[in-house]
Amino acid sequence: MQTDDSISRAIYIGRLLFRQADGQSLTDEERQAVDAWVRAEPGRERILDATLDRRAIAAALRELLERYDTQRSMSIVFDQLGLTEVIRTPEPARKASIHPLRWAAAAAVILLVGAGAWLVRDRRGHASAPPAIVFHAPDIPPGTNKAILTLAGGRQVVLDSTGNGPIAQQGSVRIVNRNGHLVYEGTTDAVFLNKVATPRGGQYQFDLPDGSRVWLNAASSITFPTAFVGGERKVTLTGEAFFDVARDQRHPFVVEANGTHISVLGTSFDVMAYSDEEALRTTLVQGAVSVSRDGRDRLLAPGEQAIVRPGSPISVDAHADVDKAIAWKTGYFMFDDTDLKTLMREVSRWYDIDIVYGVTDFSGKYGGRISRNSSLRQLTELLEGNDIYHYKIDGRKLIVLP
Amino acid sequence: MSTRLTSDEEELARLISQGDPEAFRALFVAYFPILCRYAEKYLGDTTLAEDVVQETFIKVWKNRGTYPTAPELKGFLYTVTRNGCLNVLRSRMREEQRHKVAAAAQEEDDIAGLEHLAAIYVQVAGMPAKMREVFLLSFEQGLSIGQIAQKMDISEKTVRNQKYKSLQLLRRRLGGQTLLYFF
Repeated sequence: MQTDDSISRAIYIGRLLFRQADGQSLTDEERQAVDAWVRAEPGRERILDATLDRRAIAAALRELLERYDTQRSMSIVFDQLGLTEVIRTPEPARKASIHPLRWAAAAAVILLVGAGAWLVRDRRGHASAPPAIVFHAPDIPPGTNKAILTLAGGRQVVLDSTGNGPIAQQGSVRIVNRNGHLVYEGTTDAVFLNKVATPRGGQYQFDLPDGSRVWLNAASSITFPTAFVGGERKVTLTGEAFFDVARDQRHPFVVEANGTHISVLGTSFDVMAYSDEEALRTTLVQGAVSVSRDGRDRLLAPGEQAIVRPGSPISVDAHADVDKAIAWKTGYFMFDDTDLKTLMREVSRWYDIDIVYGVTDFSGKYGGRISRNSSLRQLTELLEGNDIYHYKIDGRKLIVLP
Repeated sequence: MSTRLTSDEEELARLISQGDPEAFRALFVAYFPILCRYAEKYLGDTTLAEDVVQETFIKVWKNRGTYPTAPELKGFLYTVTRNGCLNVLRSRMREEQRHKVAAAAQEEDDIAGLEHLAAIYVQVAGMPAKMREVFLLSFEQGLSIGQIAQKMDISEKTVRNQKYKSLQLLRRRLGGQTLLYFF
């Protein structure tokens, strides 16, 4: 069996081989070490040749990248060690269905961001600031699961992930907080309007009285009756929500948002209707939905996104990036060809901060993915590490600097 | 033995020994696939190899501080991985695995090859996605600029730029990389 000494020699030789293939000069002593190593065993010329064969190297790299699931393993290891991860894994079930090139691209982002955090520090290693300052620098934690339930009478109940048990009674309907999820129990003919609203820095998941599941993004609200009576199951949305609608052919489920109506029978889809975003976007994951505005409607197929801009007819993107549209629900900020201001609007909603711009050039477009579990500082450090502006946290303000 | 490793690796080893999780993550990204390749030679199984290497990294973090220099840290990575593989094989004691232990005697050659690859891998892993795709198509499959443009559905000019940049980037040391991808 090999000794540890031979391992360290092999590591040393491997690095020399790289430097030689990379066109860097070796010292006489180093060259002799490589020569001696090559001569020591028959067949080592082959290894030397392989270091110069670019196609073989590229093939080996591709194989390494695709053969092993680094990200999944990193999650397992980091979880076990109790380390928080800045970047989380894609859902494993998806991996097989994604085109290999797309997967490689996704892996690249993960690799890049993973290495990025370290490189930021490395570059700063030479700065004069002592490391202690980094630990005391202001930071803002990410948003949490929380919302406010407003009952028909105007009474408000704070919902968070800790409470468990009954919250309120509306007629014969009992409202129960079950492990942070709101559940309506019982049926009634008397209808009360309830509203669940998330603040900035909050998100919340709950079940509507018909069993449809709603994920509410930050700074959003949904108004709904305690019992759906009549022909339609109608709710009103501000902000963004993902719906997984319980199937009921006879009672269409209708979401109203900013004058746009989205009607469905049973399906899952995302509606992004923030009033400060340039368009209202409905992205269909499964089933079928119809989006209507000013008397005109468009039917969506899975994977399509309807875009409603003020004063324009509904347009449909047939190849929408569904993962991106629902990234918030799976715990990420995902951006792709995204400008700074769009990115920062999402950041401001999640961290409950205001953005102050000390820059004038907004022409850059960025792509990438960052966990919503990151603190604001972790997020800005990643951006800085990638030369995407500089940031200063001042109270509840994030200042963007060139 | 003299140590001619890059300063980046030394910095990484130093930060890990001080308990820096970001440095640990960077090491993981760079070395996980390399060590899996190494372990797979013993085990002949991708998933088993991943399991063993996960344990390696758990040990690295638990023993941080014990290996403050890059050569020590890397020696530890390979040694622990090898021992992990041998434990798996021993516990199975299956005849068909024996020859794989014998085959692993070429270990020193394997490690030299992997270390050479690791040095490049770290840099290619740091390329923006599009650039790396251009790089791989160009050097692995030997495709022309026109073929790559068609395959990736981007302009030839973009391919040419990306290819040029990928080579430039490969030549640079780790410190100056641009990491997230830009459009």
